[in-house]
Amino acid sequence: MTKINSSPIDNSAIPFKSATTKIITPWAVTLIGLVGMYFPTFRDLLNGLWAGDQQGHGPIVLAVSIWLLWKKTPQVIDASLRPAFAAGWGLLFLGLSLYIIGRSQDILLFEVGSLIFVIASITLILRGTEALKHLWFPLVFMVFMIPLPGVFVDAMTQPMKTAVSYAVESALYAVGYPISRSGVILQIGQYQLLVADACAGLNTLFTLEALGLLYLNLVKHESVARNIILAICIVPISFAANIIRVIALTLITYHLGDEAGQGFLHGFAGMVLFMAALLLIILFDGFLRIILARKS
Amino acid sequence: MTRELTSAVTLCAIMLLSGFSANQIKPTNFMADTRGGIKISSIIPENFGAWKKNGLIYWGGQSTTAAIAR
Repeated sequence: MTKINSSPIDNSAIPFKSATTKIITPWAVTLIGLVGMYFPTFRDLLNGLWAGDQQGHGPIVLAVSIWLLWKKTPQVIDASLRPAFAAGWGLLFLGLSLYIIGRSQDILLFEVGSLIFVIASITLILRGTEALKHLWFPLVFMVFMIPLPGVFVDAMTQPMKTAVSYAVESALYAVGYPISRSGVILQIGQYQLLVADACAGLNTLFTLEALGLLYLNLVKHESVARNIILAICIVPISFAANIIRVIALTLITYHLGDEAGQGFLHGFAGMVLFMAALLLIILFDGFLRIILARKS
Repeated sequence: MTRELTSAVTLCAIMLLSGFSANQIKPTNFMADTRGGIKISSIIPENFGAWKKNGLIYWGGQSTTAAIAR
């Protein structure tokens, strides 16, 4: 009589190479499909919208998202294997529908946004809900690479530009500069400056919000209150950074001339914006740490 | 393993097919240039929802021909 071994399979007995192949193969096969599907989308974006000033943050957000997803690979692999087929296939249907409508009808919001649903559905089908929970931040972060609809951007940008222009005029007038304003046009000395969309737009705010959330994710505060307060305060911080940028450009033009203001220093002011925002976020975070430590 | 691989192959096939289909019906795509492509807004007739009665075209409850005649 043959003895049947009814004990569970000892995973440690499976050679390492075989176990790795077992886990990686399904993901690699799915990745082929994902890359094949989205390659034309990102090729078009890199040759079009992402090459401009307005959506220049797109490729950076994509690269950071891929890095964040890669960083979470061990946790996804270690998560229990409980595929959620119903939710997964349902979400995939939604994602693919959005992709097909978006791609065929040139609706970038749907086309790029569908990637989040597709990745979430793949994770649900291949691994399960626990694995998806590990990926929440990279997936949320991907929202920042979705191009916003022009109508929405225009509607939001105009009041922001006016507010930035007003703040710059008030600040420089208070310290004695000969400045006046008409709408979003600043007149300083002999120079007339137009506060453009890129200077105070919603896209900049979007980029800075992404930067702030990435900072929060990297520093990993345990205090929920600290995370929430900081995430909310990124909006006024971004606005303040925009004001600093426009002030810098106005002063460069006033003191060094029109060429300096529109040349290399114009691009450098963009860097100033991001450095100022990051510095303000870190300073505010430090301030919050002191306040919350005192309270506790 | 077999179940996971089956899911993965199915996912891969569905995604590639979706990508191919979307690109085929995309009007601006280089592959569709010679075939025209499909733009939903262009395949909807100009007077979508209109109906004919006694030789007149009605749209939105009013005869467009009658409106022109007036």
